[in-house]
Amino acid sequence: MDLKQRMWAVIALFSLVLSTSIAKEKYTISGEVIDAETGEALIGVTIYTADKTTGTMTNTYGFYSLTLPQGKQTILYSFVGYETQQRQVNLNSDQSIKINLKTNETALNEVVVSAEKKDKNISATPMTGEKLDMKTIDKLPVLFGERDVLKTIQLLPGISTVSEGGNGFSVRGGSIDQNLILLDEAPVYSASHLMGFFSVFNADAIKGMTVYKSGIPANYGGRAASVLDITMRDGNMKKFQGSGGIGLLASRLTLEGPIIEDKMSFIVSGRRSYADLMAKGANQIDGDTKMYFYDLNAKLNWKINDNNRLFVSGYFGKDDFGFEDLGMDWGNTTATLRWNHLFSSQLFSNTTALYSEYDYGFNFGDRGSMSSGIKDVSLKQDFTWYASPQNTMKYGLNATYHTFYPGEFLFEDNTISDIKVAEKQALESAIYISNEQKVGTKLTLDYGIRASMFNQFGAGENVTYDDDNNIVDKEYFDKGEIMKSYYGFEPRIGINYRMNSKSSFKASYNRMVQYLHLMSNSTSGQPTDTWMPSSFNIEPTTVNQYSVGFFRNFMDNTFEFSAETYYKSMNNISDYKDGTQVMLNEDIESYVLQGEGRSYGMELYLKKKYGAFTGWISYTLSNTDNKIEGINDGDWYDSSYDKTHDVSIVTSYQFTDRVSVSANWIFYTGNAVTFPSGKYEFDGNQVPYYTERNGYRMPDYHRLDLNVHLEGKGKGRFKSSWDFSLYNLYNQVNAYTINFRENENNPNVTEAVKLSLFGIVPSVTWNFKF
Amino acid sequence: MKRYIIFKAMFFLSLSLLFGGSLQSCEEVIDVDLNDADPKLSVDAQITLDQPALVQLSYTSSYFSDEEPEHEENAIVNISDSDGNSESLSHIGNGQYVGQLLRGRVGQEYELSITVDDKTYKGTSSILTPTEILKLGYEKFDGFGGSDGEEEYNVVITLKNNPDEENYYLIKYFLNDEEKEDTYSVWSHEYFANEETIEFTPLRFSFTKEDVVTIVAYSIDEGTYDYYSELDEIVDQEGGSGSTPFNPGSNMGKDILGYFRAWSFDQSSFKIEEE
Repeated sequence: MDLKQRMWAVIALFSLVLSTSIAKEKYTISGEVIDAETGEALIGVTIYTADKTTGTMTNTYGFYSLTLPQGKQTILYSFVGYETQQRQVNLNSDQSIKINLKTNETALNEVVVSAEKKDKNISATPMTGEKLDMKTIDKLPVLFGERDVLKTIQLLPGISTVSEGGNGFSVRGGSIDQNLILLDEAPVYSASHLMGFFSVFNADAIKGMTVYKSGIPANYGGRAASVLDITMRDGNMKKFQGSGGIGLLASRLTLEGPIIEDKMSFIVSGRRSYADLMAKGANQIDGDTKMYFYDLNAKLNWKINDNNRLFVSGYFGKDDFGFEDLGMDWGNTTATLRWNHLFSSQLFSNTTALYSEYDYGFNFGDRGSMSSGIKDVSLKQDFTWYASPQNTMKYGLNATYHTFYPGEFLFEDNTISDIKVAEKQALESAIYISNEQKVGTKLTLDYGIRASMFNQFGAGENVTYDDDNNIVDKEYFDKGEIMKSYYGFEPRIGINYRMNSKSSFKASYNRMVQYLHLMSNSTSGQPTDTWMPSSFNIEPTTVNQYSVGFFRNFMDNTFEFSAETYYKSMNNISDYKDGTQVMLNEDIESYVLQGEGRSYGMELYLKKKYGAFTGWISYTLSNTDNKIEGINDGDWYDSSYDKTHDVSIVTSYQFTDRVSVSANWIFYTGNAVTFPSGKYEFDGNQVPYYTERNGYRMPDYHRLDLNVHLEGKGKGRFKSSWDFSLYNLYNQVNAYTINFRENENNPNVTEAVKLSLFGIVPSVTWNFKF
Repeated sequence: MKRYIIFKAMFFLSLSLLFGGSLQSCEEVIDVDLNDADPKLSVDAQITLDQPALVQLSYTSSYFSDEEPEHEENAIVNISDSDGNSESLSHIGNGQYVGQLLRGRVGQEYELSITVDDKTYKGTSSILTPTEILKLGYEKFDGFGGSDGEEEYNVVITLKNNPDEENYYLIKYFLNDEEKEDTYSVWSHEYFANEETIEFTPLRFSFTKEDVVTIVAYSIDEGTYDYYSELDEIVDQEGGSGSTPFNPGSNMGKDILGYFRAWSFDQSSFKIEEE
C-alpha cells in the first residue's frame, strides 16, 4: 500500500470505531480546572464519576470534557496537592462547569490518608509519559543553588546523563539530538547554559513537564528517542505577586499578576548568573573576563471568553564568555502564539504559530568571527475531540520551515577568503490522527498514526562524492525547487490493561522518524554543534521501539512500583569517518557514515509518594550498540551512549514544617571510549595506536548531593526560605576525560591523564515570595 | 575545506584557554589497564632536499612501555624518483635504513617501497619548491587573562611562497636548546592570497623574553599536510574535546602505520633584543 492508501485505511478504521460508540441520551460536561488562588490552569487533573467507571483528565490548557448518561451524577475533581472537589449535577443538557481547586498545604507532608485518589498511575491516562510538577522538583537537591528540570529527569529510569558538564541527555540509548525538547510547544535546540551546568529552563517560570520515552503519542514527532514537553506558567489571574532568589552564582526574579482580573494575566521571569563578577571580586580572573548567562521568560494569557483563549509566550536566553576581545556566545529564542478555541463542548482546538532560533558565535577579536545556527517558523493545528466517554480523538497537522546556517567564518584580514557553508532550507510537515479508546473498564487502547514528510529546498546543490570525499558530480537547484524528499509513516500503539485497582500492564510500540541531525563529534554535545537536514547524502533516522511494563501500587498506594523493558532498533544513525572535521566542513555530508543500532534494557522504579519521607530509587540495566560500515571493521561496537548500570536514589525528609533535607546519589557505568592499545614513534612523537572502537570504559561515576531547605517565618504576604546545598558531598574525583600523552618532561614516557571537574561544591540560595 | 585548520587552531586554543581558566578542574596522572595489541609495523621515512633517504621500521609496543620497540631489520627497502633513478637502502642497525646516492631534488616524486615477509608496502611523496624564512618578528601576545605576570609573545613569520603551486607548510617551533619541538602547525596555500610572500602568526606557540626561538619551516606536499593534520588531532589532545581518536592514515597502505614524506626546509633562530 502506498502512503495515501494507508492513510485512507486508517481513517476508515477510526470511523468504524467511532460509529460503534454512538449511544443513547448523553450529555457533556466541560470546562476548565484552575487553581483557586492564582487562577492558573491545572494540567492533568483527574475527573471521574463517583462509581469510578468513567473519567478523564484536563489537558495542557486545563480543559476537560466528559460525556455522561442523562440523570444525576456525582463528579470528583482530584489533583496532587489540592483538595478534591465533588459536584452533584443533574444532566439534562450539556453543561459548562468551571472548577477552582484549593491547595491542600499539608497534603504532601502528612502521613494521613489524603483525599487524593491515590491509585492514579494505575488507572489514569495518559498511558505513557512521566509527569513531573514543580512541587516534586522543588524537593530535590539543587546544583549551585538552582532547581533544574533537566537535571531532574536524568534521575528517572531510562534517562541518563551523558557526561558531567555535558550538554545533553540520552534516553534509552538514543543520542542527545534525538530528544525533542518543547517549551510551550516551541522546540529548544540547545537546552543548556554554561556548557551544560545549568539548563535554560528557569524553574520559576515553569508549570510542569511530561517526559515520553516510549509509546510516544502521534501528536509528537520529528525526534527519534523522546519528548520532553515543558509548559510555562500562565501568570496569576487574581493578584500581583513576585518571587525570586539570590544565590552565589545566579539570581532570579519573577513578577506576575492580572492585567484584567480573571481575564488577562502576565508573567515575566528573568535570571542572570554572575560567576564572573564573583571571580573578579576574588581576583581569580582578569577584569575583562565575561562569563555569564541570562534568560528571560515572558507570557501573556488572555481569556477572551469561555470559548476562546489566547497565549503569547517567549523565551530569550544567552550565554556570553570572553576575555578581552576574544569571546563566544550562544543562545535560544523562542516565541509561541496560541489560540485555544472550543467549537463545542466536545471539540477543542488549538492553533499555534511559533518561532525558534538557536545561534552561536565566536569572536576572535581583530582576526575574525564565526557563527552558525538554525531557525524555525512553524504552524500547527491540533484538535481534540471528546467523542464519547470511551473515545478521545486527537488529530491535526503541522508544518515547520527550517533554515539551517551550518556555519561561516569571516576573516578580518581580507587577503584570506571567508569560509561559508551554504545555507540550507527544508519544510517538515506532518498529519496525525489518534484515538484513546476505553474497552470495558479494564482495557484502554491508544492508537494512531503520523504521516510525515520532509522536503529539502533550493537554492542548493546535491553533491555526489566518491569514497575519498572528492566531488564527483553536482546538481544545482534554484530557490524553491525540491532537492530531496523523504516520507515517514509512523504508527503508534499503546495498550493499558488494568488487572485490578493496584496493578496494571502496559505495552506500546512506536515508530519515530527524525529528519534533523546534529553534527557533532563529541558525545556530550557542545554549543558549536550544528543542525543539518536530511539530504541527498544523509538519510533520516528511524527508530522502532517495543516496550512492556508492569505497574503496581502497594501499602495503600504509598508506594508506586514499575518494571519496564524495551527493545529498540535504530536505522540510519550517524557517525563520521576517522578524523572528520565537523565544524565548518563544506563537504561534511561525505564524511557522515550511517548504519544501524540497537538498544534494549530493563528499568525498575520504586517511588514513595506520601509521608514525611519521600523519594525514589531508579535502576536501569541496558545495552546499546551500533554497527556502521566503515567503523570498527563493520562489526558491532558499544555505543557511546551505552550505560550498563544507571542508578539514582532520591530522598527527601521533612523534619518539621520548616525544615526538610534531601539527598540524591547517582551511580552509572563509565561511557564506552576508545583508548590506545599500543604506541609507535613518528617524527619524534609517541603516537597512540588504536584498535577497537569504544573498546574501553571510563571509570564508573558516582556522586552524592545534599540539600537543606529552611522555610522562613512568614510575615504577612512576604515569605522567604534558604537552601544550603553540597554538590558531590564526599568529594569523589570523577573522570571527565582521560587523555593519553607524552610526559612533558620526558617525551619518551607516555602517560594517561585524568581530568576531573567538580569536587565538593557548596552553595547557598535565599528565596523569596511576595 | 582545509582552511578550517586556521580557525580550528584558533578555536580550540581559545576554547581551552577560556575554559581552562574558568572551570574548577584538576588533572592527575592515573593508571589505566590497557590491552596490548598485536605488534603492527610502523614506518617513519623521509627524503630531504639534497639528502639521501632515511627510513625507520619498528613495531608498535605497549602503550606504557618505556623500552625500545622491536625493530624490523630484515626488510628490503627501495626508493625511486620520477626520472627513473632508484636505489636500495641499506640497514645500519636498529631498524634504520639509509640511502647514499639518490638525493632529494626539487620537482621529483619519490616512491618508497618496503618489503617485509613477502608483503610490500608502497607510497609516494613529492618535493615542492623550497621555502625561505624571509623574516622573523614578534608581537605581544594579547593573552586570554590569567597568565602569571610574565609577558608573552607570538612569533610573526614571513615565508617565501610559490604562487603557482598548491603548496603546504609544516612549521616546527623550538625553544632554546630543546631537541624536540615545543609544538608544530601546518599551513595550506588556501589560507593565503596567491602572493610571493606569506605572513602569519601562529597562536599556539608563545614564548618569553629569555627564550631563544628556532623556527624550522618545511615545504611539504598535500599528503604530508593531511598526515600531520591528523597526527595533530590525536597527539596534541587538548582538555577533552571529546572527538573519537583514530589512527592517521599512512600513504604506505592500510596495513602499516606511519608515513613517508619528501620535503625541504629552512631554519632560523632569534631572541628578543632588549630595548
